[in-house]
Amino acid sequence: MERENWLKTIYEAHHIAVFRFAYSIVHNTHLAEDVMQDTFLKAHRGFLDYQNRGTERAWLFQIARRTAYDALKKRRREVSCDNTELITLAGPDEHTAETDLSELLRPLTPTDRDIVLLHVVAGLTHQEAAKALGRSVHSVKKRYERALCTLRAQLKEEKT
Amino acid sequence: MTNLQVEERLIKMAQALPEPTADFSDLLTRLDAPLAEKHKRRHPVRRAVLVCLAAVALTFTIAAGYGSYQLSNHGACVWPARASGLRSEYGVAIPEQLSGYPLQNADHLLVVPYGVPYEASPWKQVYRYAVLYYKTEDIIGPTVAVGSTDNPYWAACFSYDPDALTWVGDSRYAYLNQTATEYGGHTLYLYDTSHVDLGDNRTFVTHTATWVDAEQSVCWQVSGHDTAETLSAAKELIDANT
Repeated sequence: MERENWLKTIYEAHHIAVFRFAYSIVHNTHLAEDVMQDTFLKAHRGFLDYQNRGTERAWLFQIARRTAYDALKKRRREVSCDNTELITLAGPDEHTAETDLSELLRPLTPTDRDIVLLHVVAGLTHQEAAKALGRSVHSVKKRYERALCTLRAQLKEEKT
Repeated sequence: MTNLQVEERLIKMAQALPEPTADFSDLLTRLDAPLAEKHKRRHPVRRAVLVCLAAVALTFTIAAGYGSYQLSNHGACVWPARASGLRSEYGVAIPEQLSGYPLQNADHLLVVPYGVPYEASPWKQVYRYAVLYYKTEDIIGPTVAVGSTDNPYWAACFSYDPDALTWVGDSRYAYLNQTATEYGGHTLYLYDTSHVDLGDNRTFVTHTATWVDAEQSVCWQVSGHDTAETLSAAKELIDANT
């Protein structure tokens, strides 16, 4: 029961962010819902004696990221499509916001894109993002700043 | 436009993303089903496992502070791991040869909560990672450990300090010559471990390279005869998984 209470607490605190983070990777609401649920199921199974609540968010998004990529790989094997087709499979309501973000982040490397998503979608700090990705804080900070510079240049180009 | 303005725009776009429709009660209905299936899968092999366990000498070490102890299986009988199975479990490439040594054996090391007897370890495990032994008949080559980082116990098993964001040791051992190097997009932490075998009254030095593959969410640890062999084996593994 204690474990379920803990699960409910972290679910209520993070499920929207986990869903949006997953959605930004898999580009499909149904798949993102599955990824979100699987993330919390894995957290529930893997927790047991976890004491360091300070890194709970980092740990949760580490699981979410892995689960999202696994789901994406599986879906690509099943559907055998590229990003364009995945966007087509999404409903018209979901298209605008996600497509804008997806398009904007397209020039970034996958790792840099994930670093940006962890910051702006999941709301993680540099330290938490570093833990979630298994990288140093210094590396995450540098990559994040570089990514923002890339996106700033891209946004400037769009204006002109 | 400043970086801060870019960040604010990104956050606005993120806030416009859809929200999930499932609620917590939907998650609750799924809670028991996967675990029940796991338990059922174990039953058919339980007898064979117990017979094997009785024939194998097991040693126990305490992973202090983590509420569990680690079983070390030094036999090839129980929980042997196959390269194809490891590929499937961890999503990584397992080379059949490393530094010229063939892959001879692979085991799983299991972490279970305190109080769980070793006979119950296969189905009570909270974490497990694989150890691969590369050697010829006469000479032992590199040893490789690989485990998923999608579990907090990985840090204890691979001696990773999440607060210091680096690999640190057990207080029983001295960690020497710690350096870091970049290869293939990964940061490799290299260090030597010096420990005394009180039985033989000799000091042994193990050379280790450890890194995390964030894309695959696994941690690798390679130990070899010397730093050069260890680093070379680590690079081979990274190349095999690129």
